[in-house]
Amino acid sequence: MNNVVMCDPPVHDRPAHVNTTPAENRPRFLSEADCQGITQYLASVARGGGETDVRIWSYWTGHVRWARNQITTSGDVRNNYIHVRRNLRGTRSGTVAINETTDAALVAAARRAERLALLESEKPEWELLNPTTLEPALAPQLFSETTYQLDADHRAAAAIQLATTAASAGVLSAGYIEVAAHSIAMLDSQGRMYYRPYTQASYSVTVRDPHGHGSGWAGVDWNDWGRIDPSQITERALDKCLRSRNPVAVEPGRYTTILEPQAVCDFVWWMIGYRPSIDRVGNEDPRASPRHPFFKMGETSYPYMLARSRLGEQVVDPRITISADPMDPDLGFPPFSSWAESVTRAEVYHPATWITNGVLTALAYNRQYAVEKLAQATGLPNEGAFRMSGGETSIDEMITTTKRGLLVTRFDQITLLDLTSLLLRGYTRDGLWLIENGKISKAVKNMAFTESPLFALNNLDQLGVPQRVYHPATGRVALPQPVVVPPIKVRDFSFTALSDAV
Amino acid sequence: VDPEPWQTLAQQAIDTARSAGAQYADARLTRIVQHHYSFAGPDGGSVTDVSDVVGVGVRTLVNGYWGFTASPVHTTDEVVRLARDAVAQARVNARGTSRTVEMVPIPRITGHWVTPIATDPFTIPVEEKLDTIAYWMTYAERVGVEISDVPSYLHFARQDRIVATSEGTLVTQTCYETSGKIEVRHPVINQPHAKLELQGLTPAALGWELFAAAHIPEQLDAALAGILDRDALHQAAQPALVGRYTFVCDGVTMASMVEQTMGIATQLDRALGYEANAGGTSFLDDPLSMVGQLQVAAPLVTITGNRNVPTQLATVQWDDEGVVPESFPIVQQGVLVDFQTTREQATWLAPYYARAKRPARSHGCAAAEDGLSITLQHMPNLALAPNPQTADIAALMADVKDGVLIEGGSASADFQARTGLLRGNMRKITNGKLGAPLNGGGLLFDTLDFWKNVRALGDTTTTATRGTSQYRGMFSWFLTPSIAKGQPAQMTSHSVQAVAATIANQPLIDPTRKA
Repeated sequence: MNNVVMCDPPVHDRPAHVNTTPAENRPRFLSEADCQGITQYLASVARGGGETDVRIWSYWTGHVRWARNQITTSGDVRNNYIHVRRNLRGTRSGTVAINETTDAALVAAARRAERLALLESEKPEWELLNPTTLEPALAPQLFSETTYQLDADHRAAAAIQLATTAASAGVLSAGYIEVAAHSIAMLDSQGRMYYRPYTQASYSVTVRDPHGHGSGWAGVDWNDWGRIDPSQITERALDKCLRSRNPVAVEPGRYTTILEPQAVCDFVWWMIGYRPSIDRVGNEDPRASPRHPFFKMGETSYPYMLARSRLGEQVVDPRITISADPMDPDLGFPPFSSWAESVTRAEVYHPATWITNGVLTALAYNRQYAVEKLAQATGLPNEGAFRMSGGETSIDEMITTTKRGLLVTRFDQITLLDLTSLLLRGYTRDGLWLIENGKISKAVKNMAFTESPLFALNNLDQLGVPQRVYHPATGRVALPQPVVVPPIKVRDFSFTALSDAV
Repeated sequence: VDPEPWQTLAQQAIDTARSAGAQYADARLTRIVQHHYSFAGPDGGSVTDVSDVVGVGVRTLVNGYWGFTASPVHTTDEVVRLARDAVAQARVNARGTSRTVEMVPIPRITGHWVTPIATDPFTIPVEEKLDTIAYWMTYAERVGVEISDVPSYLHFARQDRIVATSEGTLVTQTCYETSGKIEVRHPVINQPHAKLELQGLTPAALGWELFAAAHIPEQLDAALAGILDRDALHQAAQPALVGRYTFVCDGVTMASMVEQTMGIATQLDRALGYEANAGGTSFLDDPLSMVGQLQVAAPLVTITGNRNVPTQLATVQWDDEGVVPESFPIVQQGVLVDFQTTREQATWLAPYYARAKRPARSHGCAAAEDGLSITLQHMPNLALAPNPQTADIAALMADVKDGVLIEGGSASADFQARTGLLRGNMRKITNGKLGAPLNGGGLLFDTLDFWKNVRALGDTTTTATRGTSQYRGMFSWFLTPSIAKGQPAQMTSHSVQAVAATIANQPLIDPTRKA
């Protein structure tokens, strides 16, 4: 029992799967049946008893990219990441990740996982409290045929047409269209399974003056390519480029500042999406130092300080509510946290309202925390998707009601300077204007800012209508992080340095 | 990897692409094996990540336009599909306005190369590595410190890569990377400064010998005293006084400055706007009129690029287009003299090379994260040339009347690498003597002003190397935004080697101070 017998894999009949299908008919990503076939095969070749857990992330992505008004690269890529976990004697497990679906690769992964399992220490008690039935997970409809059918031909045609818009205006565009179909699956050898397919589509474009004197950007992502209006986005970037040319410098200082929705996303994401932000597990760790401002030091029990959260306290302006619901038709994301170790330990996403009318009403935690600290069975994950409530004020109205201020298109290169105050530093990019006496008076040079979202959201003047912005998943297999936010006008936003970067 | 079937697949992909009408095609097959060890287990370490990931990528050129397809399936029918689809893709792209892609000619090459390492880390049994981690943890406790389970780790990566081109180049390479992070903390004092990171574990193209060379037990022996010294120093720390000072930056700090300013700005695709919708452009925004002319640094500054220095992460025998990389100056005696290039990009600078009576030659910067990513220009290894005269860090400081020393600093810059902020551990220098630590300071730099004000460089005793690895466990969860290239974003590994330097008249600010 202590030794895993290493020998040649037995020959088993496998259900029809990707490798036995002719290349031309091979699916672009793994179906539910493919995932079940892989899991059954793994279970059938397992050695040493125990159970087999499998997680699969499979995707196809098609993209086209252009610069200087001509297509530079494009691509059509498929991939399947398969995590094989073998649980031996119920308490030890080993995991191996592969991206091949051949029998030989699967058998090798199972063997390797079994060897690693024997080297692992026994699992802590909470991990043994596995539920036998799966927690029901939401089932948002996130698959768009329009996205899935946007092939290389259609992508190229769109790119060529969009690049022509900039070329005829005498400027240079650099754009990117990406469509993707994913499936995530968590399964085990007892037949339990979650499987969710979803699509993603995005378009973003930068339009630059040929002499580098001005630059404009616009972009958005949805799961459905049909909800993206590429011409309108291109027009917006072109307009920003033309209006941002030959900027003048203004003094750094505190300005009444209108943040367009993209800038709000870039900035406020650090308060909600940035992982340590609203996570109870990390921040309540007595060794944690520093901590997010949603947590404060509790009683001192030397050498460690216990942290208490600000749950129930007013943390931002009462007009702000921040929530995340996988079923939200304008948000919509797969109802799971990043990969759990097994299907029974999947972190199922529940609709959450982190901030209600300015009051901190929820903080994220994982299942281990739920079991150990709250005597609950399920965690409250946060993967960074969020919706922020808004108001009725249009950006035009925000401008006309501003005596002197700045209008920001977006931020870039943001770094965290200080977690305890959530102080950020970054740059404005692709369109910054001065507002004087209710009108945009001139384009101004980019500036570095030094500001905290907590300060800005407590100095709110006006809010506009929330809208979907550009916030596609980062990395090949990261979960989508859709964001819906309003434009806002804040007082005393702090700009600290000039930059000649365009 | 048994290279033969892979070579056959690569050849089949190229033959298919050629017969489907590609004027040029290349195929890359990769296999990346990674083992990640944490210090988190109750009995010592544990293996937290084992992955084995393959990729086939086919790139084709039709009428001046590229196509690219990739998948993890290594079968004949799949590579045939990939090649056909890549040609069809290039052809639909080529409906755009007329475009020419010229690649500078290179000799046809076949060969095999392996990173020169002493001990293949994958041949050391898992049990032995876990025992080593357990030993270090026990040893640390015995000498009065703790190894923090987060963020300490050991990481091993091996990439097998075949590159085949329609010009007849066929090369196979195996590249190794080893890295680690061991953070040691005081068992009782829970303060950010009451910990230190062991030296010598920056990612490198080395095997298991990285850890032997780092002398971990000896470093642990000195750790408690080191932490208490830091703690005592911290008690004496003064707030940084805003103003203009002469700065002495150590090698690690200068490596970060080289990478984040010149390393980013001299990527030819960035400079010409090809990355405008991604990471950004460059302050060197008119390459042809600037190269060979523009003074970008003090005359004592020479920065070279290379992919052939042993132990450095971007080092290969051939790049992803079959080019044998050489060391090339980017900034020579303060003048911008070249850019980082691929075979296609080298032709963009042809008028300059003709003027300078140099052959147009790729600097071998074509690379991709793996077979699933398209080949792009990526940052090579970079080096800031040392002072040939004797000048250790003490000598650099001896000439400073009222200044600041920055150790272990890291820079971040804007999207044109034009301005930025440099932060690190700062200490006051008064009349050549090292003084109290300074809390909360930052050097607000303008790239050209910073480099033009370099007054002295350190000798080789001040050399430090900083490795930036593409491997972050199984997935590309977090790319370093300033290093990542392309859309979809990808990242490759490189090292930057630099000596210490003295820079005059730079602004010290309090970065956390708002307007």
